[in-house]
Amino acid sequence: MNCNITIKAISRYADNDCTVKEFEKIESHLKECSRCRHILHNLQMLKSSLSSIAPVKESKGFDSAFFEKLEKAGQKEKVQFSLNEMLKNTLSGMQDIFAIRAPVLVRVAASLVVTLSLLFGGYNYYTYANLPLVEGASGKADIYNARSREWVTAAANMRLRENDIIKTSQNGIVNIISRNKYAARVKEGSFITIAKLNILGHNHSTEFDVKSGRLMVNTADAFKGSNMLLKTAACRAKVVGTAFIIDVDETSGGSTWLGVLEGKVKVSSKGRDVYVDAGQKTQTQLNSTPDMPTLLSDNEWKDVQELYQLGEKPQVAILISMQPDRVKELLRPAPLYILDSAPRAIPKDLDAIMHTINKAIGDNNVAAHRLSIENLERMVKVYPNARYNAQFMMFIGSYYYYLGDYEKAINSFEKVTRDYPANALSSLAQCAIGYIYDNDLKDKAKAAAAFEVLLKKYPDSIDAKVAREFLEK
Amino acid sequence: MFFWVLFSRRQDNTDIPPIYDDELVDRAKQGDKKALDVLYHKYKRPILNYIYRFVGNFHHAEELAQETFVRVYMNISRYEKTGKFSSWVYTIAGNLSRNFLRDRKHVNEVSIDESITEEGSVTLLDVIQDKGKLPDEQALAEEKEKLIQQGINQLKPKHKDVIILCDIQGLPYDEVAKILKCPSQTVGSRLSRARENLARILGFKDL
Repeated sequence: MNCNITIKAISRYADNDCTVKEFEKIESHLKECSRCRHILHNLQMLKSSLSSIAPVKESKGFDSAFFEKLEKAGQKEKVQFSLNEMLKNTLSGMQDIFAIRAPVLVRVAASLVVTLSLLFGGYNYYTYANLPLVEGASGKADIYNARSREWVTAAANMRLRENDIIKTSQNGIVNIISRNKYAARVKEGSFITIAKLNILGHNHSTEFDVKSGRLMVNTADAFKGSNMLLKTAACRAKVVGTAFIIDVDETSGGSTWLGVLEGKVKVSSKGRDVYVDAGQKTQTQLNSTPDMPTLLSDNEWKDVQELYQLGEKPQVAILISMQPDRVKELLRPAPLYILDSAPRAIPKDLDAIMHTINKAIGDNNVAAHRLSIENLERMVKVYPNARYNAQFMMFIGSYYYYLGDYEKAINSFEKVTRDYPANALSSLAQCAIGYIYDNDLKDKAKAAAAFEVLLKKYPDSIDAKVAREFLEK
Repeated sequence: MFFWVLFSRRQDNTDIPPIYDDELVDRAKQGDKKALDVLYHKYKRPILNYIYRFVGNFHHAEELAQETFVRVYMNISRYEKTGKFSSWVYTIAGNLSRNFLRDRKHVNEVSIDESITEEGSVTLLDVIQDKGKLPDEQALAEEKEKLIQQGINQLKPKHKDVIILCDIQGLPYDEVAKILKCPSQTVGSRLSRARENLARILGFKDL
């Protein structure tokens, strides 16, 4: 167009959406310019064609089908309630999760939403920011304030100091956060004293005296260099960057049970040190050495997984529907969203990787896809973080599947089941392995083996249904 | 006679009682399912039409519209009244439609750049300008709608949004802005771009 009136201006003129000044300017221009008149004419024709489109009516069974769906969804919500609660806890602070505006990384599925959210907790940086903070408390929970020498009801935003005591009875729970070092949960029936607290400088040192009850601790990345010691009547447990639970039974004189979800805990008693790794537990009776670590039972695993609810730390979450055939959703194109409302705690590399993946989609470039997936794998290796590695490995697995590289897809899923057996996604990963063998590699024997493992390890998981159906065939 | 007229008018209005959305939403949030049902009946058709134009397939549009309202019903207690209720429903519908298309795009590998106006084919302009060839009004309208829908199918999602909401459904800029969560100036400029693209796809020579 050779005149200085833009199509946008004409478009607004046609909509009566311009100032009087603009209106007059366009009006006078139109008198002189036949080309713009022609554009306006076409625009008006297009507008009237669009506005004259008759609305469609819903088909006859629309309402009844809707109310049926609604009823089903209502029933499902009841089942999903506990899961949703868990997710809500995990995702607390991610309120704008639905207001995502970042580009789609790769692949889509309505019901599988991989949400990558990297948040540092939004706790307030008070003057005493480094003092452990009561993030929330429920049920019967009291705190002994050593400075004022009185018992008060535990409530959110209280700061804890040395010699304070946390006491919980029936249904009492106290959640504690120590800046970016750790999150802890004191469960019901506990009596725990903060015996030592040194929060000066970068590395903190904390000592809890656990007389009875249950304490769950989940340390963050920034815990590195800090110390945490838990003393019970029976033993001392030193935290080595980890997520774990310690249980002290007062009735048996302080016999201590300790289970570890991630990382490692050193348990010492009577001059003997025992290292308890992820997925292991140990028991220490009063006046005896700690038992050799053994694997957690299935029920204990379930207990230990409560640790995933603790704290507001950088996290990646995969939201997966709870349909029994969700494995198909996993292996269908899925998006990876990045939430950009909070400070990033993820390596910058991820940005670059996302960029290459986006570009590869645009160019339909398989080589670029391979490169970016390898970069993603490298990132997971270089910046290991137990909190989101499993999720990344799931994503990588389904990405390989998408590229048709079934063996590598299976490898990724195997890593999830091997390295994160307690992760809520492990049953899904195991199911995916079986599914790929059956569906894509046409290896019925291996599929059966994979599904049998699934049934054995996760008999109560929703994915077990797929396995049962396959094995019945 | 007078009473009969009054009565019959009331009958006509039972579908949508003269209550504002806000009031209905308040009632629904307090657990009044009937209030929600009223809102459902009020918005199901506009939402269905929006989705239908967006995804271009009636069957899928019905499913997505139902899914939209399932989410409305399930989440009404958590819904916070910051804008209009209808904007919220439209936003849900838009997100579901976009996800749906994204999902299908990769599965079916549909090429979106292919133009429908091949040499010798009928364009929208032919249809609207040359009324003599198609005397049957109904057939004309159907043909026109089909061509326009094919054109819309080829637009980018963000252009589809503004074309459908502003030009087909006739919503004001500021409401569309709330639905799309963007400033209303953006709606204006996006609409202009969308019209340009649609006109090009439909075979208009200038625009």
